Amino acid sequence: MIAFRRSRLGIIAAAFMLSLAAGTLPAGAQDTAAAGVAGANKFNRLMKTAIESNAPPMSDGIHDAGNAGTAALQPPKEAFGELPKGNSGNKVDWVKALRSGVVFPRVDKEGTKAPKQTMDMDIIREVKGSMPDVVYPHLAHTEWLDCAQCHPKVFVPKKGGNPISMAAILMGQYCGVCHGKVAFPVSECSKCHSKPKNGMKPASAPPAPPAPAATVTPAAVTVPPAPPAPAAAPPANLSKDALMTKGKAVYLDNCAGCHGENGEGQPGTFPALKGSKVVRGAIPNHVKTVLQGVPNTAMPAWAESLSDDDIAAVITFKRNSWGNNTGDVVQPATVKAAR
Amino acid sequence: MLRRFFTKWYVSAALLVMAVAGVLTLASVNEAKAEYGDVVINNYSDAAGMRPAVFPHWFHRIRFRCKVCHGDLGFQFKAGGNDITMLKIFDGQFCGACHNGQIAWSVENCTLCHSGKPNTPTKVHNSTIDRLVTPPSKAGQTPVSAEPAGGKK
Amino acid sequence: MNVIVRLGSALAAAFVALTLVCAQPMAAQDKRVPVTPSNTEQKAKFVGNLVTQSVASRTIESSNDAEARKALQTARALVEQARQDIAGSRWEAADSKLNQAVENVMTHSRRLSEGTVKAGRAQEVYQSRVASVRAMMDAYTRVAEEKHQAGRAIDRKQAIQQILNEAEAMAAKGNHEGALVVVERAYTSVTKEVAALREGDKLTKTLKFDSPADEYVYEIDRNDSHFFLLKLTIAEKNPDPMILKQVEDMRGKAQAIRTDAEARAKKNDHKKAIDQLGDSTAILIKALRMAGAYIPG
Repeated sequence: MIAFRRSRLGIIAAAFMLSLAAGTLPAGAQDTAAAGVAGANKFNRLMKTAIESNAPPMSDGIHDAGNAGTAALQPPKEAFGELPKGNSGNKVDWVKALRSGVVFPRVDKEGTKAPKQTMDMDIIREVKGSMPDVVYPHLAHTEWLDCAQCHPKVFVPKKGGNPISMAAILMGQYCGVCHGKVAFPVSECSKCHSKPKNGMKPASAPPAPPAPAATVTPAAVTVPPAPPAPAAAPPANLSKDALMTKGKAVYLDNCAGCHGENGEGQPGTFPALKGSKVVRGAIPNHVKTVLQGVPNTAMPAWAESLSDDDIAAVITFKRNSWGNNTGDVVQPATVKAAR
Repeated sequence: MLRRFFTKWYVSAALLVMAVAGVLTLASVNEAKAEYGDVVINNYSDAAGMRPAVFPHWFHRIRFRCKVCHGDLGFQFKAGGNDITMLKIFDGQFCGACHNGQIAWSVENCTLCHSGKPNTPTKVHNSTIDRLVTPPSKAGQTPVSAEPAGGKK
Repeated sequence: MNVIVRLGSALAAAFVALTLVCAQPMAAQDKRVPVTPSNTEQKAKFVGNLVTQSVASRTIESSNDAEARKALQTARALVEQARQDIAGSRWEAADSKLNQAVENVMTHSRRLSEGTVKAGRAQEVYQSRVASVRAMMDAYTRVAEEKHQAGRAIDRKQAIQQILNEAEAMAAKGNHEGALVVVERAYTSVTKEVAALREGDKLTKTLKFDSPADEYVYEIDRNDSHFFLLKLTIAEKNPDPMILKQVEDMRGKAQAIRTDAEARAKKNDHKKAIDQLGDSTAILIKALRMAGAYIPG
């Protein structure tokens, strides 16, 4: 009797293993180890399935899973496990990986210990608007490349010789020859736009080069960089009119995109500033909200991209517009103290 | 006899279990996309009956600086723009400079390079220009008809 | 019934065995792809292509070299024999025959084309290198002047130019490979000099426009950039339809202003065109933020 029942269980077990085997052979199933439930009771039932990055070759959509060699190829995640993480592209910070020594890519084909010839020279390109200026570091690039790869085919080695624009970069010219294809894509604005105007701290400090870079201003051909902002003296007080005028301009430029031209916001998505508790409430909290943003929401921190004057102006403007008649005037000194 | 087969409860149970297992494994496959920087090279492969070659930048970046291939070995910054053929590879040019059994594995391992899906266009997958010029599509594959004039990028 | 039991357990055993086989480490000598039935069949197909349709085999066929042609015939025979081995499940034997066939084609096609392929490549690479050296020499001259080191630079430049001349002479005689080795020396010298001069510099390209027409070109590029960025942002962030509609409305507005600006520029009213482009870009920036890219203005 027992043998009888065992044999039936044997059949079911065999069927189960067979079908699992049949299911795991094709691409993709090995990525779903955790997904035990499908359809009606999926955890994120209505969310689009996440696009998997660093997918293994068997399931990455361009390798043929039915090909003999595909299974022998190393999955990227295996290699990237030990490397410093990045936010885009391969999701690896290659510059950091090289400098910290976790990878040691050969400088020549044979792998002789000859050192790589590098050059530490920055080129700063000013841009319009309040977007920070671009700093191009030769050092980080010459750690991987030689002069000949870019000069003269991609960039004329002459100041003013290259009319670079974001449009051109996005279409694969100049910086876009590599960035957006192999090197990190342009979604990481602050990696290049790293020198804010008016001598402020950069939004995200670029990785420190190994050797200290002496600032030598060459004569004649370039305009010397702006002198550093005076640190000691507190910022001057401004009149309410001046603050309101400036504040309106700053608001329209930076805030209106989400909070609306008249502070009406987007119901359900971006809060209205007209009648807002934060805007009409205590000043320190309002200042803090603008400076540091609101974590886990779309409200960014404006501390790095707007100056004390700008923030004081826009706060004053908001507190006195659209019926928010608080009568408050916030001075740049207040903002500076709150940083 | 067949009817008797199917009326046995354990057979139905087995079939049900197979069906459920199949659904489980196939139901929640994530949409995947090609690794950033993977270059599909399909200049001559389709015509020759081979799968297109897929070159993974990330794997080589870990082992070589950019200048070794793009400087010393003379690879142009252009997917498909180097006119690589097996003849040149056998001769020790391009990929053959290292994939000769000494620095890296040798060319008998056809399927390690020729591992792409047939008819995949020559391009750097998931590049910015790819997304700008072609509409977003499933699983890293782009319809061939959406290729911009001039083909290779 | 017993048949079903036996069949079930046999299948289960086969499944287990297959898992064990596939999990084995793959380094058998320097073979990367394990010698399994499906791999070998595929290899036979690919090597079959190699010995019949490839450029390498066609090169051999069209040559007058008896040895090479014989080797190609041998390779083809080997592929046939390998196919028979596969039919008889002798995988290892098939694999080694296929490898031998590849070796045959490789050795002989290389021997035949060595001259032409290598020379062609050497010429391309040489010319590219010379262009780089020339560009860097120009840069060197300019930078040396800037740094008031033009005097010292003259000697160095002369030395580098001599090396370059030597290389050119070799290239003129058709010896591109030799020329390449020589021009590398020139390249290393000039890049070292420029790097030494420029080390530590910070050059600033200021926003200085020679004329309103120049500034207009800059503004057009800037406007273009924001249109592209908007397209990219929408594709990546996938905003919800209500927001998307507003974003599209703004895009339409921005496009209309831009068209207007372009018309003005055609009439040479660049100043007004620049202002309008500024407005158009500002609208795009708002649209970008709404779509999910929080860029400063």
